[in-house]
Amino acid sequence: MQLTKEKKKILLVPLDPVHDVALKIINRRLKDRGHETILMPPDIPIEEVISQALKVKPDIILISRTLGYGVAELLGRFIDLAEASGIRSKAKIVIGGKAIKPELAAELGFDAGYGEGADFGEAIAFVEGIKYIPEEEKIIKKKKDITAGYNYRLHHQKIENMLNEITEEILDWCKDKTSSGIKRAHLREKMISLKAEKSKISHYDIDKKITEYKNKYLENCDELIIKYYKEGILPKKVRVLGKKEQKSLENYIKKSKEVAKYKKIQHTTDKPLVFFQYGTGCPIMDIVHIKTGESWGVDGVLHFDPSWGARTEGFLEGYLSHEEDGSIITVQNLEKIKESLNSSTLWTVRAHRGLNTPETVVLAGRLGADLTKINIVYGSLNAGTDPGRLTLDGVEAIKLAAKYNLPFDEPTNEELGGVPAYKAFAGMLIVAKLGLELGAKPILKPLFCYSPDVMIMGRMDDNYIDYNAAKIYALRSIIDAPIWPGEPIGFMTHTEDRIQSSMTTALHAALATSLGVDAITIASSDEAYSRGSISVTSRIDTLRAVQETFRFLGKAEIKPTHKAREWSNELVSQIEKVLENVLRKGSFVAALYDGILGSKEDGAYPGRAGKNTIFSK
Amino acid sequence: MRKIITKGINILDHIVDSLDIETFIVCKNEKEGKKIGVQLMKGLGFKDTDVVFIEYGNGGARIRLRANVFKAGDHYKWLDF
Repeated sequence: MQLTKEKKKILLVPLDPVHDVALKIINRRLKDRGHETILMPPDIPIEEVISQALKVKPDIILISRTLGYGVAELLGRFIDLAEASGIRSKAKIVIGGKAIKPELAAELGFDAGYGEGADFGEAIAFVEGIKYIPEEEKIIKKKKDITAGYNYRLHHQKIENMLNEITEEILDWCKDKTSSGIKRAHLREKMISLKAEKSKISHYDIDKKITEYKNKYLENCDELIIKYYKEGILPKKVRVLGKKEQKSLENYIKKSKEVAKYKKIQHTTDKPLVFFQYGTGCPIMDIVHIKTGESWGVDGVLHFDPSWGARTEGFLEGYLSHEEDGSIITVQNLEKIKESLNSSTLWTVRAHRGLNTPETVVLAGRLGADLTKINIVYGSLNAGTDPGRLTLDGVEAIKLAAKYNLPFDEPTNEELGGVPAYKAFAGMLIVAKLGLELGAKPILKPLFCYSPDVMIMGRMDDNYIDYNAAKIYALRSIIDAPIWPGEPIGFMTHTEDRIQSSMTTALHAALATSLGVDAITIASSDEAYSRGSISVTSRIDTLRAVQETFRFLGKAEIKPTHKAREWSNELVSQIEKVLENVLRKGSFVAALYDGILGSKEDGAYPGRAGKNTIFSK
Repeated sequence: MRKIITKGINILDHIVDSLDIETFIVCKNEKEGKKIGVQLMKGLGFKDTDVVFIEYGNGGARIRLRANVFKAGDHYKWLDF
């Protein structure tokens, strides 16, 4: 609480039979700021108010009036009496309330008038003679580092020892191997670096080098990509945005930045940061989603690319729009999206699951993303990429994430296919340890979800709280690392009912706040609607619902039952057993193929994209 | 697609993506509710429509109908405003 520099004496007068709540609130705030206040009871005749004012000699008289009938006559008479008694020349007189319009207040001779919708802060600013700044304009959103404050120490010696052995084996396995994905990543780095050296090298030499790199790049791409570069043939349902559209988009970005006002979605806590995934297919529509999200308080966004992009070697280029879910990764699309972002908005370009994983991290790093996403296990078992290829590319991607100082989150979405949480967590911890070994900053991403395994085991028959809480307790008992439940929270609890969908997101957000996690990814209220695209209004639905939940909960907590601790202990011992099995196998990649981190019976299938594409260095 | 012209501008061109209508339809069952909903959207002149959500209770259905005005990849008219 900030104390005022100049203490004032204020007489507060509710000129209504009962409506004095607003003045009581202002009274409390003025007192808190060090002013001397005298609050009169409601429904006092104005003569008595004048008499009290003569007695206490206030600097300011604050009057409130809610009821509309006879208001002009009553207030006019009050000003007349104030003038006649000499008070008018000694005190400033202010009127506020539902019945008041600023024009009426000025006409009657009040020093200020505040009508319906006015903020208490306006009256306080008047008392203190300072400029009123609306709450929304006071919000200065700053970009936050999700990993700040974590030391990444492992608290569980046995698990730490096993992770050390497993990661050592992985790094040893990777050291003499490479892939076309890794080659493209390094060619991409060279191409971007060349463009940045325009002042030092002649255009001719730059063009020559770029052509050379591009040819090498295409040698490592699939036919779909080569056809575009060489023959201009685009994949189905993809089109290039026209020049007019690009120009209009620039105007849209400019205009939306000019009128931008930002909302803080959290109430009295700083955590969790709130993210959503965009990926409408079209960068223009993505930008509309992002700018709308920023207006309603979103802290960060994740770029969601099409699934075929993850199964294709190489990236297209240009401003490309796609008629289906997932927005195509190109330098130009990402640059435009980056340009649209508010300076405080965290931007994740996810690289986790496909054949372009290392190159995506290069693009993320070079184009100004704040975070990326890598999980070798999920990408191998439930996202279609060959385990060997993704292990190799994933390790390279983690090295690049460290190089570009991009913390990476590790989604455990294999749970949605049916893999039990403990197996997904064992995989996530292996990748996290790889990250630490390679100098990167991993972020753990357990799902808050009603997963198939949870349904089978009946872990959420009573509530959605205990098992989700157990996951957080278990991870915290193993490692001091940031935790960001996703993706999105409440997965498989949403229905097509907009209210239910927003509600379940908001309740899971409440649990996240209560557990003190660092960030959450939320769905839109169209999450379960699969026959069409996500609408902009459905984004607002869940952001508003989450904001209201944060307001409701504040610093209070949700109390899980004793089951949460029991299941947490069980999870830790199950993770231990999975890691023992990986060690017994003697090879992480073989463990992935053999289902130790998620089997076919669980619902995990080793991917085939990129099979037999590993070369010796 | 239906047009609602005011001062030479199709008002629907201001809609960023879709127009949802939420209402309660008196009907015998969910199937009939859905049919009435689809007819309603058709009657309003929308061609690309869907029933996003329907839930039948005694005597009627709570329904959310959606008309797609612009989809991802379209040329968005609002971009020119």
